[in-house]
Amino acid sequence: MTIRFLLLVNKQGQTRLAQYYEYMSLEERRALEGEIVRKCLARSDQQCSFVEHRNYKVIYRRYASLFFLVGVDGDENELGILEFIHCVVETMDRYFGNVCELDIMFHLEKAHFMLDEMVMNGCIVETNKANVLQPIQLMDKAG
Amino acid sequence: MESFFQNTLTDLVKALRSTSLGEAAFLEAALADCKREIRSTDPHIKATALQKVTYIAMLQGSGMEWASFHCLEVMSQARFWHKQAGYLALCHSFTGHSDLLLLATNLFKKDLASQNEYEAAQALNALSRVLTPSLARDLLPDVCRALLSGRLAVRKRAVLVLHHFFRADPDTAPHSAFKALVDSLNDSETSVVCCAVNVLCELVCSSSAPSAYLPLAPPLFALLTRSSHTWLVIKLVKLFAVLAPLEPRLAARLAAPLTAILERTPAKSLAYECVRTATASLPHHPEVMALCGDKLREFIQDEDANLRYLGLLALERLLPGQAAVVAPHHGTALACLSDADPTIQAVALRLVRALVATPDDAALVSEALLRLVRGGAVEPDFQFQLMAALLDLNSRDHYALVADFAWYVSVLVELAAVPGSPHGGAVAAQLEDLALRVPDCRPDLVHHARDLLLAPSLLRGGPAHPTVSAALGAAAWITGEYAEHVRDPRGVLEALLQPNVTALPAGVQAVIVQAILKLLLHARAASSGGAASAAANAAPTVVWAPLPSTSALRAIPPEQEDAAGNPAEGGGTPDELSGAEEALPTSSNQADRAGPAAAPQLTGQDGSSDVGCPDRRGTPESSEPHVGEAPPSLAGSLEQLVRAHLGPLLESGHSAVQERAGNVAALLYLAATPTARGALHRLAAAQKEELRPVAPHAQAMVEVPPGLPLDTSLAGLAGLRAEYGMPGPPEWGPEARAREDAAAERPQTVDEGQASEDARAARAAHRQRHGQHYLANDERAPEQDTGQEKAAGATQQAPAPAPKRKPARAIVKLDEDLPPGVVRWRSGEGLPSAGSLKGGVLDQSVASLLAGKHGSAGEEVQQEKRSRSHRSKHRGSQRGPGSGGTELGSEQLGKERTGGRRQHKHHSRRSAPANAQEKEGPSLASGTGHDLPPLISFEHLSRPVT
Repeated sequence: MTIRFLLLVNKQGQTRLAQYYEYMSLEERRALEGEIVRKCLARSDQQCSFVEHRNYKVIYRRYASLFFLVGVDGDENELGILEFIHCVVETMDRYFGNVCELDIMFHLEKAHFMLDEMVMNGCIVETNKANVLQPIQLMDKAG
Repeated sequence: MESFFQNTLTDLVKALRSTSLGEAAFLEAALADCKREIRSTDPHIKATALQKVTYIAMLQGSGMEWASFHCLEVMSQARFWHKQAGYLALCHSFTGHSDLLLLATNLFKKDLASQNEYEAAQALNALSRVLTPSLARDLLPDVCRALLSGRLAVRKRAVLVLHHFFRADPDTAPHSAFKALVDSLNDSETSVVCCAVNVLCELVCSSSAPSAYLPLAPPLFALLTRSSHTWLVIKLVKLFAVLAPLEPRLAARLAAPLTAILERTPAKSLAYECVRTATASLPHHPEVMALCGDKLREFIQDEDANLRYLGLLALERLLPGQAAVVAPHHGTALACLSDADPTIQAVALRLVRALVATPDDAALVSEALLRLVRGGAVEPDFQFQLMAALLDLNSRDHYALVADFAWYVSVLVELAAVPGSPHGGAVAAQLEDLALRVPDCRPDLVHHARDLLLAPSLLRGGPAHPTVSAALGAAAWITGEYAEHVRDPRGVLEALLQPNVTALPAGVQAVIVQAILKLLLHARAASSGGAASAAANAAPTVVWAPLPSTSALRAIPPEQEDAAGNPAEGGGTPDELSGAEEALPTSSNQADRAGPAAAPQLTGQDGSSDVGCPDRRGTPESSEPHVGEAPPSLAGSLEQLVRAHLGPLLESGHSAVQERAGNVAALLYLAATPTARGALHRLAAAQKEELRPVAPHAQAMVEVPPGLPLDTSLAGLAGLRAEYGMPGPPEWGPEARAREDAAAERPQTVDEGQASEDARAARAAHRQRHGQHYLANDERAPEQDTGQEKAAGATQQAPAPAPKRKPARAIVKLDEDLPPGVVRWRSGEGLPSAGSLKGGVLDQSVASLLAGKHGSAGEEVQQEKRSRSHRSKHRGSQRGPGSGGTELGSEQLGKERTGGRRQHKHHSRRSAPANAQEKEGPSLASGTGHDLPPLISFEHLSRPVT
């Protein structure tokens, strides 16, 4: 399993979306999120996007008011994960059109659906935006 | 109609944003609504409610196990988005052990076979999150069917979820699904191949025996050369980083594609992965390594902080074997020390430290580090890391990298004074170490120590300088020990006697007092001529003036720096003193050297004879002219100074400080007593003995001289002890150890129990008499004991109560904890069953602890596993290539094992029972990996895959 968890956090440190790919109890999750978010939000733009925390490596990227944080195993390719984060953002951007925090708040289930299309079992399944969005667009048409 | 009035999730979010209730209260209210709605029979209302519950649970970070059953209901609905809401909720409510999931088995089966590919994909997605072993057993056939699905979305997810099946059910799942996984490597769709490689990569990277996967290398290598999908190639390259070190031929073939990728790819992520793999697998290909070095240069010089960080990390990983490739980047790494990012700084520091190989490097790096420490532009934490690096770097291999000790001493003193530094202890240790090891830098050390002691801010310590006291202690010790280098004894003494000194830790104060003593002694010796006094020491007729605190002098606590240097101090009588001087060849040599002229003049006289004639003729010891030529009144004035300021130290609450201050006071008294000055000179002479560093193991290397009977001289003690009825000391020495060994090997015998039986009987009698005075936890044993004794005495039927409590006792207690009655009863022959029961349990537990052997169930399982693995290995070696090594059949292995045992017997010098227990040891150890059952059996891989 490469990706252990994925968090979307706003500038105030509120979690907007959390996806864990390994089981972790709620207390652990809460503690982990708190520590990681505090660490990442304290960093400046000039600093690199990698933070080591416990046995995870956290790779994060900031888009406007949203931080995308991905926790991976120690030996995962950091640059690859950065590219993946960008791919997630582009996909959301294409679907919502100029995606912002509110879009994710109001369409949380769709954001989850998109992530499920792209990541499964901690592995990246699909990076083609059209392929990712196809089922969700079908759903929109049907629904 | 009802659903018309229901809030959707969007409504909930909007209301939440505009609420005046406060978020927590609003969510509580909304959750209550949802709990009501979720009981509805309308599928739409139920699904919407579940969706909202999921959302609220995510916001609150609370659990939603209570909704598990509703999840299952919503999952089973027909509409896709209902189903999706159900699956999402299931993933979020899963707690690792949901029994309800068993109810979902059929649902999963149905959805996996669904015509709607998204439903199947949804089910697979959920499975990857909630798979339990029992679900894995039930659903494996369905997933295998999904692997053959014509739909891409289903196929790739089915491949990915296999990884979970292998983990959840490692015994059976690989047998039926691994071949399908390998087949997926040839899928026409790149994304399916990518998923298969992902799974393989995970399996290989987490495997304890990755060599089992080597047969897969050819198809994977083919993929590597023909694929252009970056993510796929990254995973392949990562996979080869594990496989290539296991098979040199594979590593050799890997060089070409890796070079090609490194040269061509624009993707930094791929280039980085290639560098990592090359580091791990191709250390003997200089051209590839050089290419990696070039790539990393681009990385660490890039504007992007991420690339700089990764480049430094990769260089650090490259360093152990490839110093030549990394060395050119030394300058860049040094520059990265002042990077804006602490993460990069930390890596750069590690790299820079590791790169230092010569004194020139060390000087360069130390200067750079020192600049940063002084600059104050870095974070305090990093500043302390820099200091630690500096200390560590220069002290490596006993200061092998330090070219200029005077400079290094000044650096150490500077580091000691850095505010907030936690490294005072390290600095102190190095200062002392340098003073002992490097005689040339002692004048510098003493000079700088004085600076340290005179700095008023340091002595105050406190939060600004939490650990500086250790360094001050070292400075004081150096000043005292090498007092001949002190140019300004009055100034130093004033510093040592500051009132603030009493605020320092007791240990440091003690060192300071000792330093004062040494300074005084040195001043006295220097001012009145060391040689004559040293000669006077040899006179046997010295009359000791009565001292005010002789006892204090005699009881100086053992102190690290004075163990060898000041033994005479501890002696109270002339006999002891002369004995001590015999043990100090150098000091008596000094006396001899200085003696011939002076000795006849002074022999037979009192120590007081030299008082009136300050003899400063030939004084080889007083090598320092500035002290030696000091006016004779200097010592007196110093003593005056100390006498005036010693008060607070004499009243110290710490015994070590008080005692030493007492010593100093005694010395002052001696100095004022004309008849006792000889003693002062003896002390001073003893102090001249130089301390040298001694290796910790040196003492053990000193051989006992041939004629020295180490044991006999103490033999008389035994008689004395017996006379006074004292207990013997803990014995040691070879014979005692042999005896102990024998006792340990011998099972606990009854004799030992009976040896203390009298005492126990007395105790038991006392307990019987004063039972109510015993504490509750003390009472348990005697109660049982007395009860049992009563029973035994009254009815002569001891066995009756015994079997009930025997088992518990057999495990918990040792002999000495058993009350006397029990011991007698146990040692008697009347109860063989109980005795043998205890013996059996003990034997079993000891045997299982030592070796896990003797026909226990565990052994059978082990044996079974081993033979199974041998069988499968054997089969594998007949059929498949690549398993390599020397494969032995079970019969051969059996032979090898007995051979090993015989050999072991030769080496063994222990007693028979121990050997019997060890017998099985080598058979386990000699397995050399044969014993490990393979994670996955590769029977189905025997055919070449491509």
